[in-house]
Amino acid sequence: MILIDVNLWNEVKKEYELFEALVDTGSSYCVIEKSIADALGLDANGILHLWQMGEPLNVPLTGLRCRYRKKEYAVDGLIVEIRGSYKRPMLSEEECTRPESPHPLTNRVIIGKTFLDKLSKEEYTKLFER
Amino acid sequence: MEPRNWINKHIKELRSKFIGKTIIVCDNKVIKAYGGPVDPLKINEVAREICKEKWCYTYFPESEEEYLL
Repeated sequence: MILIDVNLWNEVKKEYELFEALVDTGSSYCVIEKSIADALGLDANGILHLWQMGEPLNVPLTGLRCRYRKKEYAVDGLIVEIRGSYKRPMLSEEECTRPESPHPLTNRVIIGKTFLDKLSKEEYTKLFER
Repeated sequence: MEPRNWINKHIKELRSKFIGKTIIVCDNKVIKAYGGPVDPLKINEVAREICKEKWCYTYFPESEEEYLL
């Protein structure tokens, strides 16, 4: 699992906020949780229709203003709403089949290809260096 | 050292010491720890007051993440 630090623009406070970001090369889009998107003042500017088994999933699209290693990027992102109980660790008395740990988007954003494709080859390679 | 690099360097000991917690790191040390995950905007608010320059945060879940995104 690769975690990096990315700054996202807070439209409400007019300043950048630091986020721990999970690099996901299998995700087409960057993803942010709805309550965080709301706090940053991000507006939905469209809907993405994801076709999956069972039923289509319609997810709000937004524009993310990012800063990574002193460079700025404008990328497309998705806003995903996570159920409140999934944002905390599972309680011992809780009877459910959800994973024990809180959902990763509770306190992180996902960095997908809409961001990764904008990095230079050098920056992209650096991401995977340990 | 960049705070993220410091975390990566000490990840094993930090995980065992702060399991289930969120930590804020600056100046090559843990300056605050919270139980459970914390809203990143609240973390930034606190870190701006305490840290002189760069900081970062991370959360150590008790179990490996099982979510499929």
